[in-house]
Amino acid sequence: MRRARRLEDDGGIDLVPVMNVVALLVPLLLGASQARLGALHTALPAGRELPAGELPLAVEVTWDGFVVRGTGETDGAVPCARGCEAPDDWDYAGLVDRLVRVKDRWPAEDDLLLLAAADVPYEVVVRVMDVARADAGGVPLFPYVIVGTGEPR
Amino acid sequence: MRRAPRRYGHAAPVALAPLLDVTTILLVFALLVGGERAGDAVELPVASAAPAADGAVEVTISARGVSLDGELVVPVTDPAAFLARATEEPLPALLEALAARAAALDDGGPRELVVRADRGLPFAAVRAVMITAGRAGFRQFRLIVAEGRRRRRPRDGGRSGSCMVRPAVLPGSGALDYVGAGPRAGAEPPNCGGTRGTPKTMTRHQRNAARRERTGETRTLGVSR
Repeated sequence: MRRARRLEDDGGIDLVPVMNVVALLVPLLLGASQARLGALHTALPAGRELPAGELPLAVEVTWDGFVVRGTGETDGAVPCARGCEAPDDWDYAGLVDRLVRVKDRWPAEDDLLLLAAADVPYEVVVRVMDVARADAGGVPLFPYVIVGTGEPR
Repeated sequence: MRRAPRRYGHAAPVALAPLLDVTTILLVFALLVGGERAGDAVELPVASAAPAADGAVEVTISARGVSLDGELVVPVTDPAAFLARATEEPLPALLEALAARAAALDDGGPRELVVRADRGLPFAAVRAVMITAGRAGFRQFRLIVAEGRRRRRPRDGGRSGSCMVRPAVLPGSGALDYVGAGPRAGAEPPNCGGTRGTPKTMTRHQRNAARRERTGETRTLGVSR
C-alpha cells in the first residue's frame, strides 16, 4: 500500500520577514532614543566683578516683549506685535536687529545678561540665547549669555 | 541499474535564530531607553547647539516634578504653589540630594549639572533648580536642547554650537553680579569665538586686558546699575 507523501518543511518558521521588520525597527528606535541633542553651557557666578570696559547689556524678557537696556542710545523695547501669548509671538527678528545695532556700536563686547520673568516659558529663554549667539556679518553677536536669576525691572 | 546517489536538494539554511535573538535584545533595549525618556514627558526646547550630555549628574524638570538621575526628588502636585515657592527659596529635597551627589563626586574639579527641562515650563522652575544646584556646589550647567536648524550660520559653520551661558545672581532689585570666574576662566567654549580683530583663542579677560593696554582704560570693579 502506498503512503501519502508528507511535506518535508512543515515545521519551519519563516523568520526572514520578521528579521526584515526588526532590522528596520532597531535603527529607527535607536535613532529616536538618541535624538539629536545639544547643550548650552552655563555656570553660576564665582564673584561680583565686572571687568573694565564691559558693557552692562541686558535683555529683559517679559510678557510685553523684550527690553534692551544698558547700552544708552541703542536701548529700547522690542514688543510683541500682536501680544505675547505663545513662544512664537515674541519678536526674535526685532531683537536680532537691535542686538546687531548694539554690536555695531560695541563690536568688542561678547556678554549679554538675560533676565526673564518667572512665568515666561523656558522655551523663550532658550530662543533668546540662540538669538544672542546668532551670526552677524561673520561674528557671533553676544555668545556669552549670562542668565540672571532675578526678575526684570 | 543502480541509481545515482541522491543529491542534497537545498543548500544549508542560514541560521537566523541567533541573529533574531540579538536584534530582539536590541529592540527591547531601545524600547526601554525610549520608555525612560518618555516617562519624564519632557519636550525639549529647540536651539542650535552642540554636543550633548555625557555622564554628568542630570536633573530633569517636567510637569510632574524634578528628577535627579531619573529619580523623582521633588514631586509637584500643586504647580502654582511650587512655582511661588521656587522663586523665593531653593528646593530643600533637591538641595539635599545634590549635596549628597556633590559629596560623592568630591574630586576637586568643577561640578557640572545637566539640566533637561520641558520647554513649556515657566522659567522660574529652571531658575530654582539652578539656584539650588549652586547652593549644593554645582556651579556649571548644561542646558539640554533639541538641536534645530540655525537660521544664521556661526563662523565655524555650525560644527559645534555650545556657547557659554553664565547666570548671574540678581538679589532683588537688579544689581548686576557679574561673573569673575565662570566656565570661561577654565576653557574657551568651542563655538564662541572671539571678537573682531581679536584672536579666537584669547579668553575674554585676555581680550579685555589687551584692549585696556591699547586704550589705557582703567579697570573698575563692582559695577552695578
